[in-house]
Amino acid sequence: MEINFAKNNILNRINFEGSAIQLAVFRILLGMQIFYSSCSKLFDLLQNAEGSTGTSTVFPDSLDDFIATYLVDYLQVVVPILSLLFIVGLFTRFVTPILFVSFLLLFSFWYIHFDAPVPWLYIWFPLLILSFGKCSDRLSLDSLFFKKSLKFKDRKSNSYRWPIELISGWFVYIYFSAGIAKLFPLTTLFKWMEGGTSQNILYERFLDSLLHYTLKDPLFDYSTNYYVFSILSILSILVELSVVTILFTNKFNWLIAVLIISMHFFLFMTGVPGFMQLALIICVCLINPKYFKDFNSR
Amino acid sequence: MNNLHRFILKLKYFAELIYVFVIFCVLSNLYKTQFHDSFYEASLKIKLFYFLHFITLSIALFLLIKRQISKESLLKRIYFKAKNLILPKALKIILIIILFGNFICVLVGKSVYPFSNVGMFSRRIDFKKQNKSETVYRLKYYYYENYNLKILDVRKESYFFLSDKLGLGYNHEYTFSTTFHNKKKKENFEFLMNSLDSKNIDTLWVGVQTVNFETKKTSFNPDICNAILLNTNERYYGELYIPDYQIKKCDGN
Repeated sequence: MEINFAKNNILNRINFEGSAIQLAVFRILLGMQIFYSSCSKLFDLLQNAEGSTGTSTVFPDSLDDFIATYLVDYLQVVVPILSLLFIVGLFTRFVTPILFVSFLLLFSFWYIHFDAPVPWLYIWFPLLILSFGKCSDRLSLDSLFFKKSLKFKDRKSNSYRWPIELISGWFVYIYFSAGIAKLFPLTTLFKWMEGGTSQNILYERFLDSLLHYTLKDPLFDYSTNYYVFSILSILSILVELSVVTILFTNKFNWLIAVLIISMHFFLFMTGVPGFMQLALIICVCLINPKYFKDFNSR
Repeated sequence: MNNLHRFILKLKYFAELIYVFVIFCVLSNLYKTQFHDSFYEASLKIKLFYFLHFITLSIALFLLIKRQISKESLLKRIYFKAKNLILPKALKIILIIILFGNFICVLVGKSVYPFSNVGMFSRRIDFKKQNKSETVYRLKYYYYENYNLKILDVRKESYFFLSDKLGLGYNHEYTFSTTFHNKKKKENFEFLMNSLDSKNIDTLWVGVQTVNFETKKTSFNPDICNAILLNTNERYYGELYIPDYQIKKCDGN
């Protein structure tokens, strides 16, 4: 297998030809995730109970307060409606930027009270990119009703590729940063590699995990067997840092996707289920567009 | 360009990436390492720590700048390539802002929505030193359905195929927040009760679920007074809200 970094790096791939179907499939999946997340009862709960504290946003406090006091109720209605339009691809050119802004505001309220980068971290950047991209040229009502105004002939060759590659870049940022966050400070890296963090999750959350719901009893003694958790922790850092490969070549995308999904599957089973679905959606952008083109030509 | 020259050039590119990474690592490590004493009052070991970082940073910066002066700089190539990308102009500016925001967050290890260092699970927990027991107690709500005891596993409700009491909107984030972040609050309990209203569950009791990792067995004790005794801050994420009627029923026991 020949690996040509000079040809296959992400800056070159952005200029390659893409697949309108791949972009449309991603739009639909992302829209479904936005609909699902914005219909969460967490918003109602957080309006009654405070949730976690200690998080901050780039917005001024006055805007955070304004969102919490006046906007959340409206945004809880607006975002799901817009996401439905986004899924079916109706008025996408106008809907996507409004959806992006609404989503960003709604989930700022979410993050202030729920200290975890799910699901907003996986969604806001791809949504921003799709605001600029031509994601409704296929599998959309726009392409059905407004075929003439879409001006397919004016599309540049990479119109469907650059959004996909930029979102792949976002995937790299998420996981590489997660790896980096675990590395530093180096003085305590060894302590992290001993696996205490992952062992604590399994130990404390076992009774609230899918492992317990499906198997009932623990598979082995999670309060000892430290070496198992140490190996898992070291592997997780290696897997997270390995995603940087995507920037240099897309030859190993499938392997990276499998490793990341496997890592999330482990977390899914052990009581941290929120990430897997989101990672799977972004992984659509790691698929080589040629497979979607083949599908299209059949 | 012959093969040898091409190979050397690749090595130089690789080295350039290493310099950038080293500079980032040194800065990030310096920022994230916390010492209680100031530099002047610190021990020799800490002074050596700073000194080594300073030396490494200086060398990496010197080598990186040297590479930038030469014609065959990778960073220059990346810059010109990125500049000439066929992307909407406004998007290019936005991308620079996002790149910068996220870079700062990752460097200093803090999240400021919507920028993030993605630092979940990076906290160091010394599990061995904590000498944790082989038994874990979890206080859980339960109810009676046709005189049969049923444990309300709220986290289970977020799994589509396992859910039978709460609907689709009660996703993983909701169940996490209600099970852990807000477990101590009365408002949380009342919200849960309202959500269960349609399922004809009007009374929830608190019992204790136990797992013994040594014997690999789980059990549930519905004794409401035992649950009150075990409801301490030692539990994961602290105490669970116990309704007044349960506390009153146990008064005097």
